[in-house]
Amino acid sequence: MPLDQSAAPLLNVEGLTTYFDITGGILGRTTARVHAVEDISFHIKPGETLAMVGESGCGKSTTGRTLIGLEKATAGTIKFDGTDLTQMSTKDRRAAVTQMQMIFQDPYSSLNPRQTVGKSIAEPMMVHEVMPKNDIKDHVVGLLRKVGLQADHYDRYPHEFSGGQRQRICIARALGLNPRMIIADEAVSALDVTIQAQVINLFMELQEEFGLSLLFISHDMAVVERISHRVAVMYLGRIVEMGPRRAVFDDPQHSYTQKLLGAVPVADPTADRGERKLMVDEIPSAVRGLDYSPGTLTFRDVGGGHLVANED
Amino acid sequence: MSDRVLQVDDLHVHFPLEHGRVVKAVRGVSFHINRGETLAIVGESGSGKSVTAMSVMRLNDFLHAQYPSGKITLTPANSQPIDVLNANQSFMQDVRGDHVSMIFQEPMTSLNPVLKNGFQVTEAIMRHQAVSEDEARKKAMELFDLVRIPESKKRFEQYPHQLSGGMRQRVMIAMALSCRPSLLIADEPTTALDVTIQAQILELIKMLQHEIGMSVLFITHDMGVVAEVADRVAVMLLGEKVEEGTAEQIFHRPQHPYTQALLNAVPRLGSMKGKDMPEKFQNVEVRGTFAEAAGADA
Repeated sequence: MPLDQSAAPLLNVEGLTTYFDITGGILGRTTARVHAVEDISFHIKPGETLAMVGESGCGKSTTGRTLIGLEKATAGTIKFDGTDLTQMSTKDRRAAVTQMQMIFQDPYSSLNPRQTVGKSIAEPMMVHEVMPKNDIKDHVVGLLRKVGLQADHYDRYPHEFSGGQRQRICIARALGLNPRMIIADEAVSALDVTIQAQVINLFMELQEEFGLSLLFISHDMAVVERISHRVAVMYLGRIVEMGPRRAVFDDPQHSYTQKLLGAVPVADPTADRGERKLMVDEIPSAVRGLDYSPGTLTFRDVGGGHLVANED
Repeated sequence: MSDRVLQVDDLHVHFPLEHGRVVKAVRGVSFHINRGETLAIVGESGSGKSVTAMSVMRLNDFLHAQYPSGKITLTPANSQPIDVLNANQSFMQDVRGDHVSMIFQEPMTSLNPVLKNGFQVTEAIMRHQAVSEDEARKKAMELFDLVRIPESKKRFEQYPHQLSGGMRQRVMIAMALSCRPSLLIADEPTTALDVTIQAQILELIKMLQHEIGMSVLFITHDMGVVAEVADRVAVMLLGEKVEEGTAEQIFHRPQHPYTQALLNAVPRLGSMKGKDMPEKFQNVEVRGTFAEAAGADA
């Protein structure tokens, strides 16, 4: 299913902000806040992959977790298919998010070791009662085949599988509820490179077949370049540059994007690496005092929806 | 003096399991490292690359490793050749940290959390050099500056948990270089770090290698990192070396099907130049790899 550029966005996020309180003292008062996600806005169209990239602590994972409801948004709206998830009751939200599924980095810790793989994949379908109980097993077997595993894997336990196979199992589980969107949080980072390539191919095949939207959260610029239609670069809780993948990679505008791309090792020993300065600078902390006011970031459009935060 | 710092011939490493079963982690691996040179051993999880590196320091002994055959000869600068596999552990304690030292993937687990950063480096110097504590402290302080730790005086008196991952790795490097070793073994030293920090650490290792004139055995799974640091590359698969060559040969004219598949699977920045839509990886299904072997075992 080719990507329809004129389609209405499936997910529309406006001004999303997530803070974590740091408490201290015997009264447990809030003494400071981690500004994990600070006023970010973006959208994802049906069948589109938006990659969210940045380094540790930039807020990319918190963004994903807030979207799916694992963290509570401090402010902002999350419109999924037109309805605002932040205003919903827990019950309504639970029903709504069956169409949004998440896959995590570590396939070892996201599968129950005492449950057969088949049961793990079937569980969400039973909880949400999406089909008659008798049909579930056949459906699970179909899903196993879809992600490149076999029907007789149904009765096996997670420890019998390699990392790549486990991640395929997690993908099968996420597909069980026929989601329209998948949030993949560093879903290929723990895998060996040949397995990583196969799982990335699988994501693309599934996207083509089901027209899935994908929020692909990653620190790996080279993987992101391969998989995404659009890219959002995060730094210290904010999106500093966002646009079509080709525009962002070919012509990075923000100084942080340039630095990030410049730091990626090039898999070619004869590549011209230019002069690299010996730097020691680190990413500043996102912990802020209570009286900190973040200020608003302004963006300029450099063409074709390529947005760049203005730097002072 | 031999111009080879390290010579490994037909190394076999076995780990005995229960019921007489044995994991043959390394099977007949040979390679050498010249003075001042960087050799990268690459391979995926379970290929035996770390076990090979640990054998050079005899650290596998603590995991009850057996060496049924093979020879490892280490020739430090200004010293007699050392027959590593036949040396006793107390002799190896003098060798480790002095002639050969190692940095690991996770600096937090390699540093002692209850000792100050500065003391941990001072301790290493006092272990191997006949110097007073004051002198050792002074040398450790110089090393903190050598590895470019900002505010080195303050960091010297802090504990490892007060440092970021990149700074901890710098402390590890300071400790590893404290006795100016002839060979530095770096086992995935940047894998846990962010990419901008990784670039800093790689640059630092290269620069210090030049200053000290040491050789580096670099263990990594990241072909991008290999291309950045290596003079020569050995590719390992399932305990065997399947290909060896200069970095240029391995990257531009890989001969073994596994090396070719490995390179095909590496996401390369810039590979999508001029393309609007995402694209799948080509030819990444490898037959007879560890992945398949692991799957077959399951």
